[in-house]
Amino acid sequence: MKTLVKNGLVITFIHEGYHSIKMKYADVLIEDGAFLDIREEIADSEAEVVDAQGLWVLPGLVDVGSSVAGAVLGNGLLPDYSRARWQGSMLHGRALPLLEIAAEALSDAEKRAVVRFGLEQLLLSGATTVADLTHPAFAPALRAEGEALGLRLLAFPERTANGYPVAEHSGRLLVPERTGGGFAAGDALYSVETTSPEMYAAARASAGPLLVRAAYCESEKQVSRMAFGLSPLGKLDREKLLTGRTVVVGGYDADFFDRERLRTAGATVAMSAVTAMQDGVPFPIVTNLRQDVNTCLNTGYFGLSMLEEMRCAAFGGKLDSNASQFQASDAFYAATIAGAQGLGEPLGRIEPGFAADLLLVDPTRLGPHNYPLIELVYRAESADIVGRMVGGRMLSRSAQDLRKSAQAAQAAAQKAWSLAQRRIL
Amino acid sequence: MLLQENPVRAHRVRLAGIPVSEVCFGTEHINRSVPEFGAGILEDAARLHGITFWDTDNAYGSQTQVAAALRRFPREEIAITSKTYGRSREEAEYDLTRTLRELETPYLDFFLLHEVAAGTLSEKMPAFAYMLEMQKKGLVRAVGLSTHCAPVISAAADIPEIQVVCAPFNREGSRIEEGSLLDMENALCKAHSKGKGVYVIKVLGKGELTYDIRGALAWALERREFLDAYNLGVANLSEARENLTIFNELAHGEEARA
Repeated sequence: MKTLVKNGLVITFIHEGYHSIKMKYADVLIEDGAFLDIREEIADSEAEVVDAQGLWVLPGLVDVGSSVAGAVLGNGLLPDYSRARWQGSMLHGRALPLLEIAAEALSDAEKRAVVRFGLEQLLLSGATTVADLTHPAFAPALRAEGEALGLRLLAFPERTANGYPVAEHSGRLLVPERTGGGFAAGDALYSVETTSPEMYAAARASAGPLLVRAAYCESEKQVSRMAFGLSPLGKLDREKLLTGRTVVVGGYDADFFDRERLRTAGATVAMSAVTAMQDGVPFPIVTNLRQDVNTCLNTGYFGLSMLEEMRCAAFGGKLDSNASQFQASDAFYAATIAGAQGLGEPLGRIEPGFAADLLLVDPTRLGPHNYPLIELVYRAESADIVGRMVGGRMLSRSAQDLRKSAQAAQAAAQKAWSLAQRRIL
Repeated sequence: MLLQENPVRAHRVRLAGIPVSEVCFGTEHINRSVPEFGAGILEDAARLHGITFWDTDNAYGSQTQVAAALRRFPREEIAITSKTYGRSREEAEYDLTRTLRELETPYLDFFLLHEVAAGTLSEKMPAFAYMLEMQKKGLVRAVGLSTHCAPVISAAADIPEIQVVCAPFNREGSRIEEGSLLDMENALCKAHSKGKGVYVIKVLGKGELTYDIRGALAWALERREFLDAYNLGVANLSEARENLTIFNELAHGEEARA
C-alpha cells in the first residue's frame, strides 16, 4: 500500500548531527510502512493522497522509557516533587508502590482503561513510538491498547527482586511483548539494588535494547555505594550491562566518571525534563552531550506529553549551560533521533528507508512561522497536531476521544487511590 | 536611502582567481528557518552588505534556503561553495549531482573534499579526480579541500591541482583536530605561497569566541597576508552585520580614514 503526503513543508534531521535540520517543500511517498521518496512533485496514481498543503510534516516523536500506567495513576496523587534526598529511591517512593496496589486491585478492564488514557495522551502530543517501562501486571493491557490505537509500542516489563514492585523474582526472562508497531520489545531492569545476579546474567544474554533505571537520585547512589562500593552506573558497568544497546532511564545524578562509562560504552541516557523541572533537579542534557553521551527524552510520572518534554528540555538545557548551547532544534533532536538511536531502530527522520511515522502540524495558530522548530517546541499544543501517522497509517484520535478515556481511567484510578491513601500516603 | 548609504559592505577579493566577498556567509545555521525566510537573510546579506560568497553543503541542511536565495540573483553575482565527503568517483558524483539539483544551479564556484581527516587524502583521490573532470566540463569553477588537520593542508599545498584550501583558524586553536595552531598557521602560509586560495572557518571558534569578536577577528586579520577570505557562520542578519562592521573597521579602517 502506498501513501503520498503532498505539498507540506518537510522538516527533519538529515543525519545524526545536531545541526543537520533540513526544511524543504516536498512530497513524501510511503510504501509498506516506510518512507520511499522525498522530493518535489511526486506523482503516483496508486498512492492514497494526504493533502498537507500549508502544514508542517515532521517525524513522529520517540518516547523512550515512559511509565504510562504510573503516570496516569500518579496524576493527582503524587506530591509536587518525589525525589527529595531523604525519600529514598523511586523504589521506596510513591509511584511504584501505587502501581503495586493498582496491579492487585484493578481488573483487566480497569487496567486497560488506565493504559488507554495514557497512550492517548502520548499519541495526541506527538509520540508515535512509545517504549514503556512496564509493571508486568500492566503489560497485557499495554499490548492490547497499543494495538488498538496503532501506536508503535514497545513494552519493557521491569524485572526486579527483593522488593517493589513484586514482579519476577525467579530471574527468568519474561517473554518479550510485541505490539502493533511491529518490533519486539526488550528487557528492563528496575534498579541496581533490586536486581539479582541471575537477572544480570539473563539481561546479558538477552538481545535488543535493554532499559535500566539508574542514577536517579542521590539516595540511590548512596545505597549502591554501600552495597557494591560503586555508583549505580559503575555497578552496571561491572556487570557488563553498559553497552551500545543500553538505555539508562534517569541519569540525573550521573557524575563525570559515570558519563565516561556511558560514552565509552556507547549507551544512551533517557531523561524526563518535566520530571527534572518538577523535582527541581538539574537536567544535565548539555553536560551529557559535551561528554558525547547520546541523550533522549521520555515522559516521566508527571505528565504524558512529549511536547511538554521538548519544551522543558529546551528550558532545562539552557539552564544547564547557556542559552546558545541548547536550542529548540536540539530538544527536537532529543525527541526524535536520539531516542531512535537508543532503541537502535530506523525512526525519527523523514528519509528513505526510515519507518513512516510522521506528524502533520497546522502552524496557523503558531505564526508567524519563520522558525518552525522554535514555534513547535515553545508554543505548540496537541491540538496543533492535525495528523499522526504510524507505519504509513494515518491514526485518527481527537480531544473528544481523550475526554472519554479520561473518565474511564479516573474511575479505575479512584479504586487504587482509595487503597493507596491508607497504605502509602 | 538609509540602506543605499549603508557603509557596511564586504570588500571584494579573489579566491583562486574567482571574485568573492572577503567575508563569506557560512550558511549552516540558517537551516532552522523556513526556506523563504532563510533566503531573505541571504538576500539582504548580499544586497545590503555585499556578502555574495555563500558556503553550504548537503550535510548542513541549508541548501533549500541557499537555493531559494540564489533564485533572486543573476547566478554570476553569487559565489557558492559546496563539498563532498565522498572518497570514490561515485560518491563525489552523487553529491555533486544532488547539490546542483537542490541548488538549481548549473555550476558550483567551489567544490571541495569535505573535512579530510589526517591520513585519508590519498584515499579520496578518486573523488578528487572526478571533481577535476567536472571542472573541465564547467560544472565546477575551482576545486580543493576543507580539513581540520594541519598536515592535510600542508600535503594539499604540494598538489598542483588543488586550487583552494579551507580550514578552521582561530586564536584558541579550537576545532583543529591534528597539529598545533602554529602547524596550521605554517600550513596555510605554505598553501598560500604555493598559489592556493585560502579561506578560513571557525574564526570565532564556532561561537566560543563571540564574547570577544573584535579580539578574535583582529587575531585572524593580523594574518591577512596568507588568508584570502573569512567564512563567518551566522544565523541571522544582525550577527552578519555585527561581524562585518568589526571586520571592516579592523581590516579596512585605515584605508577608509585615508
